[in-house]
Amino acid sequence: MSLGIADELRYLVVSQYYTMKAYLTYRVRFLASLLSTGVGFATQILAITVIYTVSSGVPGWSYLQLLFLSFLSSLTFTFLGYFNIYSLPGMLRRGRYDGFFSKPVSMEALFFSPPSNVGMPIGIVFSAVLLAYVASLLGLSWMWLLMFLPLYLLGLIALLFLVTVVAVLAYLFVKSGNFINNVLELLSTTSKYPLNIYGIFPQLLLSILLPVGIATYYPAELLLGRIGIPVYAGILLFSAAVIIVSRYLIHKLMERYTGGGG
Amino acid sequence: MFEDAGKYAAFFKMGIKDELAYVGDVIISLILRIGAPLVMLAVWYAIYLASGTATIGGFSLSQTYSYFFAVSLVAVFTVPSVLWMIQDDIQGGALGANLVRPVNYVLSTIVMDLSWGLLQAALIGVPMGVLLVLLLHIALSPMYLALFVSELAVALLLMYAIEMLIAALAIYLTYINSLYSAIYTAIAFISGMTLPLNFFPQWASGILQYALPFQILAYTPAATFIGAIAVPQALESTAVALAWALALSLAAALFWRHAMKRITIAGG
Repeated sequence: MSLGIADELRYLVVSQYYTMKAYLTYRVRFLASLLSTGVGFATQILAITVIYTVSSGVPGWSYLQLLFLSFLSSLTFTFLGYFNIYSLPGMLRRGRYDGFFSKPVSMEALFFSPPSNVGMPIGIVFSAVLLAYVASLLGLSWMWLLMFLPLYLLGLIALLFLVTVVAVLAYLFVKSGNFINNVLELLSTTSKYPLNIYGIFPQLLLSILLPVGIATYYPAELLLGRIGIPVYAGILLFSAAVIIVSRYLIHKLMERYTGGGG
Repeated sequence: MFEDAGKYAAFFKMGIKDELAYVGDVIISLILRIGAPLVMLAVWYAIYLASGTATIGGFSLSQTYSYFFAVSLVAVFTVPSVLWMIQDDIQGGALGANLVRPVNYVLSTIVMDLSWGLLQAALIGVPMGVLLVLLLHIALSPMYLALFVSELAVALLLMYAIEMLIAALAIYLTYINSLYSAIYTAIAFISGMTLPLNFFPQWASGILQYALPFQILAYTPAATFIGAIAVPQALESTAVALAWALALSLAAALFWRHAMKRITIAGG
């Protein structure tokens, strides 16, 4: 018997709450996370400032617009980093989930609930605040923001599911998932700049096969008023399809799991 | 003396075996390193095209391309992971067992880490360097090659000193990921990994190149590799970095000696 969605979400929230509580016991660690996030954003702003000081910048994007895209990308990858998916192959290999698979909780709730990268919420808050500030400077309208939220959130969840598929594949074929961090880092750098500067083939790749654009570039384009309703609806449908297919793949691939540890 | 060398040689072999346990992961991670300069290549191509100028910060477009590839090459040689090994030992409780071994813990950990670094340099760094010279038509003279190699050695010494200083902090704080992340992010920016230092305002570029040591981790060796820096300038920057690296190594050794007196091993 499995739980309903509301109970699954409650399971996720409660597990995160206790992880967070344990984390905050060490205040120095919390301060170090704060410092790390602050330095990350400061260098991000400085890098874009230097680019726009020595040149006319990225074509078609003003300084503020590029900052907005860059912060949106940070928000996305901080969120993905929060779930520590790269550690999933190692945890499966060591049999850390064996005791949990018999619980009436879905595989996704289990995979998204273990010890998370709890320093990340600070990054999420930082990104969101900076994003809101730049959005106010850009004078973005509330109507666009209302359209932006479902597009962005669905894209974000789709990416999370897709990365989980990669992690399960990594467990099955290479038994380790450190490279997932490198993939995320590379995608994070890539998505801090508009996808159209990479040329048509890489843009298609980053929109369909590794669809990082659905939670970075396209939502930013929407807010800047460069995406029409048909494209908007198409991206929404695509994100939903990614979630459904990824979920199916996670369950199908996990049928090959044989237990680990000792 | 020779008996000790044998012990450290065993650590050297162990380091390589450890890293190669999941060889598929290692290979994919190494391939992905080539991706970062490709991203910067596309970004700067668009910027140069839009700016309509031949040079930015004294670099032509082809020099900027070459610079980012050279930065990736430098990173193959100069990114140790000794810090994570020590943090794992402290968090997992292996530190106690390791300290009672008849070898110097810090030295044996560095040797284990260095083994993988050297293997990586031989298998990835050297072929990558040769490929870059051929594909980017870099005229690397013996003089510049010697300078580049010595800069890498100083960079590695500096990185070990920085990592050992932070690793000693793990004895007091246990968890140092975020602290390291803050320090490394700042270093990546001011060393020229993100942007060449000559793109910065002149006053900042001057400080970063001649007063601070971090340029040796990216800008100076990368600029030497592509021949975009004069020999006296490169020597001056290397000398500054060497002085800092020695001072930080001494500070790390003293800090470790102090930290060792504070260790409390629990459990049984």
